[in-house]
Amino acid sequence: MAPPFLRPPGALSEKDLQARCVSCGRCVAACVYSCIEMRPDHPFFGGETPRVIQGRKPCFLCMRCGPACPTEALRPVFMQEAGMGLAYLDRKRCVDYQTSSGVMCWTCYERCPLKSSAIYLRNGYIPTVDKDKCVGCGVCEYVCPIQAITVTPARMLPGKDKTQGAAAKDKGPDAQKAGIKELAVKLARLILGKGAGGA
Amino acid sequence: MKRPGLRFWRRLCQSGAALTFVGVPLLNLCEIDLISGNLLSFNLAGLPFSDPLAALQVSAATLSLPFTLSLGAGLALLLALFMGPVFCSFICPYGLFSELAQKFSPLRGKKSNPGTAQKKSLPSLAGKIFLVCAGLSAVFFFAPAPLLNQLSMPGWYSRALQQAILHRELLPGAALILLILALEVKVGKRFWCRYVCPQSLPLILAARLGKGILPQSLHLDFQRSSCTCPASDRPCLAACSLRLNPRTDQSGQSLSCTNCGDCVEVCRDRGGALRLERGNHFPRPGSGNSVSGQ
Repeated sequence: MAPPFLRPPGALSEKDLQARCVSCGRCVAACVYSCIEMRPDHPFFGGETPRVIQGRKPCFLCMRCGPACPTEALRPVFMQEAGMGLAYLDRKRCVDYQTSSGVMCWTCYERCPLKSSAIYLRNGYIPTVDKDKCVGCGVCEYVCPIQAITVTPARMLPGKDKTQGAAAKDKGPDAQKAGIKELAVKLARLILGKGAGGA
Repeated sequence: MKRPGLRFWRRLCQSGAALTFVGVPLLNLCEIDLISGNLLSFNLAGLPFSDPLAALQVSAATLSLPFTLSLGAGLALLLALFMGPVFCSFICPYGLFSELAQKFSPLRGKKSNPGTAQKKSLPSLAGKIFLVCAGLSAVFFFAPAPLLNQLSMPGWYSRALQQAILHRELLPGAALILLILALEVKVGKRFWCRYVCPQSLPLILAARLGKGILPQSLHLDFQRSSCTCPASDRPCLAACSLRLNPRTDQSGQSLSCTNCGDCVEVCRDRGGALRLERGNHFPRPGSGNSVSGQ
């Protein structure tokens, strides 16, 4: 079974990414931290698409993959728009939430690339994930010593996949195709209608 | 000392290209990304090159033209426009393996009807045209993913190396290349390049267009009056690895000709009737200054 994975920063929705990615691997070469791996979506028929396997190496948001992508499957975006997923912090496991533990870990807070923004210290000492600012890079999941954080990929979040990165600004190919098909049907009706009228 | 011929330089280019795609992932592994990508999309110090078929598929799937991919595809097509489909004969690593497989094939001596493909140059492309149309339709209507890339042997070659070096994973494409090479040795001369390879179709069509609109495009030229070979001995036909007949004038040159120059090489020591030229080197019969019969 494939390990859980994230798409790199600025990735389009799952369907659009698979439509655009030609498996050139230029994002892999561009990544400073070698976080991106190319893995086949299907053992025989699918091309390799970029993945960040957060359990092995999370994304440190160097943001070099987007500009390197020739097909715009990965868009050049800012760190705050990476849109890879969302971190979930299990309060029952996190030691910072256990008042009796007497431990202040703060590893996730310290290592978060968007420190004080995506993860901030509520009341000055309790690490908290800001759902609106977390981009799901996976660093917190990787560094948490007791696995209290899990990152859910954007493609598994309802309503989040289509809004990943800058893709939200674009009209999707499905809508364009539907438009073309609708136009073809209208044209056919027009031609057939004229033909019937003439006869 | 004899000057190295065109074949030597061609082999050098082919080997260089094949080795380049071993070196690129190694360089990337050392965090040098001045050169990156594979034969589907490639970046050389900021200059993009892309497979035109990959760009076509992305356009069909998404109804858009990604700028870098289109620019890369445009550069590849421009090369084909001026030089013909030289990617197939001078760069494609699979082409090198295919030619070497033929060279060392036990069936090498059993050549049957060389030159027969010439008469049916368009039908020989029919399979490729059908494949590309079917693939693009499938991409547009059913499966928005570049499916035809799975039939690109140079693509598989560079992807498999990239994957093996960067991620230590063996792709099934490596086995596919070996299987097809084995089939080529068994079944016939370079059937994949001649009848299947969809990647070559946009390059062939661009080369054909170039021949029509650019007088300076590279092409094979044949002067019948300079041919000194008897009808029973046609070394140029035997030299063509794609089983084409080079003994036609420019307008009759096969669509599948990749300007490899193998026929020119064997003809050089005979009458020199075949040449790779830019523009019309030999005056055409009926042009008023024909050298026929001199």
